[in-house]
Amino acid sequence: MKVVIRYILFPIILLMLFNFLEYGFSWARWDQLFYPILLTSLTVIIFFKTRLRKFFLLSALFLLGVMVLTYLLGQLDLANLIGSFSFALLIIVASSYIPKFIKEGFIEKF
Amino acid sequence: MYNNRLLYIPILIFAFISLIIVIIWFKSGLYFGGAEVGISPYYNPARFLNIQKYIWWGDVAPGMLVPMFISGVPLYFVLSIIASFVSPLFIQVILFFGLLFLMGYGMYLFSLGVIGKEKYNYAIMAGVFYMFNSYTMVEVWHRFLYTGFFLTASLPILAIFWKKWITEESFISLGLFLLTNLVFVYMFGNLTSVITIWILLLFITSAHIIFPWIGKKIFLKVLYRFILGFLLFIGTNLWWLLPVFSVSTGILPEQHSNEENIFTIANISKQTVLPFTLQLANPYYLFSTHELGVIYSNLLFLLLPWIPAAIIFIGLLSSFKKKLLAGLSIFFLVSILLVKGAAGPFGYPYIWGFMNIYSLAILRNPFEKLGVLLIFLASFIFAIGLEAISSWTREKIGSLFSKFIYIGIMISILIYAFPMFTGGVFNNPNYPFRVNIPKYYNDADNWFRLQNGASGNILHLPFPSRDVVTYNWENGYHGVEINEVLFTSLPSLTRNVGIKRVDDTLKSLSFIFGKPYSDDKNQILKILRSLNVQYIVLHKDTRWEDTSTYGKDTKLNNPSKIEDTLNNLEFIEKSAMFGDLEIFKLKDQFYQPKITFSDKIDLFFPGESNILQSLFFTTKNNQITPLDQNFDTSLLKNSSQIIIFPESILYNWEGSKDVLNNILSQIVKNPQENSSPFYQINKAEKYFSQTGELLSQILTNKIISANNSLIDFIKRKNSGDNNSAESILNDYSNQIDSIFTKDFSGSSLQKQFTPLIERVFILHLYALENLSPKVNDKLKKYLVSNNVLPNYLLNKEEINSEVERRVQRFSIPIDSRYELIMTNANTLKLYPDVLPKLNILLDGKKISVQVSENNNNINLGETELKKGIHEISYNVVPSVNLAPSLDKFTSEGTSKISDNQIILDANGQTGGAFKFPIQGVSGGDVYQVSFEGLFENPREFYLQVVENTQSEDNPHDCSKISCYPMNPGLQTTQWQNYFLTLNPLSLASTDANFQIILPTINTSANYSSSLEIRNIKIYRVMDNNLVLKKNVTDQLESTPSAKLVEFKKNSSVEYEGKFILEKPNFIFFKETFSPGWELSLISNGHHLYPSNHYLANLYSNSWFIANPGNYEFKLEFKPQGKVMQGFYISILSWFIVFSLIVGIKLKRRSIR
Repeated sequence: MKVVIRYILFPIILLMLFNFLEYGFSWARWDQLFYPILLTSLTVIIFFKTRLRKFFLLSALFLLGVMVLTYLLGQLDLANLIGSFSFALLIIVASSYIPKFIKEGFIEKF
Repeated sequence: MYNNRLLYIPILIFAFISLIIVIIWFKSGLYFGGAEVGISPYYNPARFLNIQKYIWWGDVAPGMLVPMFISGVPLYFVLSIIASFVSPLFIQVILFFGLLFLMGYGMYLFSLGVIGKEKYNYAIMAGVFYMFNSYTMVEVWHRFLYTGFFLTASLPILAIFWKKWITEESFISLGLFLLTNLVFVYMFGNLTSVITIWILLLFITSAHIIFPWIGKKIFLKVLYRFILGFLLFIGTNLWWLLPVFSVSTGILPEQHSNEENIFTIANISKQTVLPFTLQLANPYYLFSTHELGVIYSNLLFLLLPWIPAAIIFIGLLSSFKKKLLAGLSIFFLVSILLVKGAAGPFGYPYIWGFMNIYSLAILRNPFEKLGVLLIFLASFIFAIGLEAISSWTREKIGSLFSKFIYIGIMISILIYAFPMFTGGVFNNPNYPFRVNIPKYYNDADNWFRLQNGASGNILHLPFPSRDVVTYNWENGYHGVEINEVLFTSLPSLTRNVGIKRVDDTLKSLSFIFGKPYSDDKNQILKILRSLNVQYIVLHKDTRWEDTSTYGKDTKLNNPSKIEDTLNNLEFIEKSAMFGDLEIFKLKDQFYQPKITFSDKIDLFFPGESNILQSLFFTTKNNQITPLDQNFDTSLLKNSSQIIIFPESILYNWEGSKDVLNNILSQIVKNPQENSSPFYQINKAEKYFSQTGELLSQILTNKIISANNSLIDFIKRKNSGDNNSAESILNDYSNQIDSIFTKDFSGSSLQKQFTPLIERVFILHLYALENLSPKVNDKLKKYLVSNNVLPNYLLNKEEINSEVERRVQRFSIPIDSRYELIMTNANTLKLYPDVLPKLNILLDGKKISVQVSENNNNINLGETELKKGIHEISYNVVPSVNLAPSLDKFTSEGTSKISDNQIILDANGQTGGAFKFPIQGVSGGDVYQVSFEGLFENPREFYLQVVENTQSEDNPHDCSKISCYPMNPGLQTTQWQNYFLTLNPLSLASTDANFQIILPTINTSANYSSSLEIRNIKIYRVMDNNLVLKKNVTDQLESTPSAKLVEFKKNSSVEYEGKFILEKPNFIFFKETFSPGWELSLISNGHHLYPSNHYLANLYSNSWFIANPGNYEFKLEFKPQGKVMQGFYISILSWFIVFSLIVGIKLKRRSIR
């Protein structure tokens, strides 16, 4: 049962959530599913492989740096794309620490 | 407790910084004004207090309901006392100093409480960052919204007291929190301030109880404190909350539609994408308009804001490791999501919210409304980040280097905010913010004070079409109209009041003093009397040619032309002159008081008419419009005539069976065929995708899906596959429901693509007529109720190919015979032999007409109509080609005419243009233009219409005249067809020239461009209105049968007096209509409350009094009572607060 919840139900709910957060209740276009699927996959990895959290946190921060660079080079659309993804990743990583924050109020180590 | 060093040294620091800034800002001796706040609250605060202590602003004639600004009363009260001793400049200096100081010092104290006393130098930096970040500089100071000043300054103090209340249950802190709200209550003039504050308080409370979780018991305690604090906040603020939330005018339209709200949030979100939001920047002012300097697009300045952004992210990671700080840092991430609106990531909930919860529209610009949350949380996280960097560098590199970095970071922040130190933060290249009101305004005001018997309104001319003006004062002025503050003795009729129907009536003041309307002097007198005008102030100091303020009809605003008109009116006399102000007075024998009576009226149903159409049908009588759906037939006894304009108008296309069959079979065969309406709808989808009108884009997609379903359904039916056809029909039926049950009505799709939508659904109806009558009926009902189709369609057997009809939908109040009148008869000469071709139908049945012309109207005879909705329609006939022969064309630049073609050339030195006069121009005309063009080196060119109401000084300047950029298409050897429907001309235009311009190519270009044009055609779209008229009695005009004996204005919301009626009469009260106005009468000791309240003269109030006699009357704006009710509850709430503070204090003392 736990496996079903963890690897089937949880990802499905996440997929629906991310799809809503990005595109609403529309499931009309299959190409739109790519981004929610990507975010769902990352969330599942981050939540269940906690040792990779720091890697994803650093990746998110690195990508935010890339966003700044592309912005300075005048590529606003690309910067927005990278920024959106990296910030989404940062939110997901930060969310994975929430149980710890609730329990202890802070984290000792990322 | 903090020691003195922690308290006083920062006070000195922030006071010093604030002092330096205000000295720089005010060194010119001028104060700041304009934009949306005008000269509030510094110039004559007593006048502001007098106006704004009422929710009905009677001094902004003819009166307007403004409940939200009552929250400014405490500030105006205090400032009005201070103003007795000091100048407006000094008041502004003191206030700006105080606000700056509180921003910095407040944030310092809050940060100190969060990050610890020992880190006070970092807390100071948090204060400095709060004062000098990009958001505060642009969104607070540059945007120049005072509610934003007050919110930003009060937020840290509110947070400090709230935190103390939540964590320590300190009732004194709760009292101080509520008191701070009272002191800064001016900020609630913008309702979003309440939302912003409570989101922050929710963050602070949640961070305290959740991160870490402190157990159920303490959670419940904190929850109780939160609820108590919230309830007391509501209670102590009810004196302004109650009127704001309980009052509406009843005829006020919604400010913005759902479509507009979603459009705004979608477009604003393009400016709040993360690369901008994370640097706290508003790209519009910093990078587009460059109002703070072009330097902000320089690479160094593009780089600078990322330094604090990086420190904030370092602070964020660092705070995650600190107990008690992590919670607020998490909410910092949440605030980024809130502030960036619908921009990615996770932006859709905003769109969804706006689609489903109308009240969310208050957050249409979340970056502006909620952005202060971001800088509030960013400021103390910045301090944490700064501390982390300092410690790390101190540890790794050394103390000196650490200090060097620390100072470098702070200098970079101050450099980025340099306009705060130069005064450039208030820069606006076109309209400077500095104000110096000319002395002659004061002189003119004093003159008015000395006039005996002055009681009417002062009309200020030129009358702006919006509420914004631009003056040519020594330092200029651009912003909200302020005459009601500059002229203090009488109400000023100076701007629109924000109610569509009333503003349309006021618009007549822009027209009547210019040609051709100025010739009708009786009409001018009637309008001035109707609006209770006694004086006219002509402002020769307006920058009337400024099209961005006054619109393109600049000639209507020319003060010297208006002066000529005023000098020629025998009922007006010139009374005084002060500087650029000329004062005229309506001669006493022509002036009518605020209360008048009439025993005969015209019943007027304005429908969709504009004020000029309405004025054409006015007589000497006053007009009454019943607003109640149930028509009071007793009104008829006192009416001389009834005038009914169409409630709605639509253009309806229909085709014969052959035409519809052809189109449908083509569509079924090839849905992608270019000319088919089903294919054309894709263009609408692309258009909305580009403009960001999301709601219409969604609706268009639904129509495309319904089109596909219909095609599929027809195909399956034709192939005999009935089962799957039924299932598709079900889907189709659901799609139709989803299109029309919500959001379609009033959408951009409906407004901008009506003919296309109509053609699409005419085809749907035709296809379903035989295949599924049930769905056909449902669809037709939707189309009629959404104003896409008329109720009565033509019999297809009688249609010869295609026909377009103009359908007028009338709401008839009573059964009777009515004259049918077609307006604007002059234009009919543009339609050869038009009358027999009109084929006038009443509810789908042909009616015979007897034509006679009368005063630019065509009387089409009488027709019997029953009470209810009726449709009267006529065939739209094409006009003659209004473009003259080529010999009447005038060439400019390189253009020439050869072989019946016009050739325009453009190169690096010169461009080409030609123009010709349009024949038979009439105000409000809509034209369709078509021509063929052949381009060599295609480039953008322009179609322009220069109307005689517009400036002729800059005939090619698109900002001054009606201008249509044309996409040239690709290079081709084929002639291209160009077609465009132009916007309506100005209502006052009587003459217009059409021109095509191929502009000069920029000087560096080494190529030329050439455009050949032939077959230019201009057609007038037939738009003559149908109006119904009924003469009720032979006695057409009112007779004097009532007398106003006594009249007194107690306040803007209360009038009283006495009158005598000899026979039944209507009483007219010349204030903007509102159901809140109530008339009470006393006659022979009996109290009467007439309930039959009517809209009078298309803007004001009237009641019918049936019994003759002597009356005492009182007119009261009842909703003002809500302020007093709220005030009493607020007093009670404050009493509870004090009781709690004292009670707890006593209890604790007794325990000790």
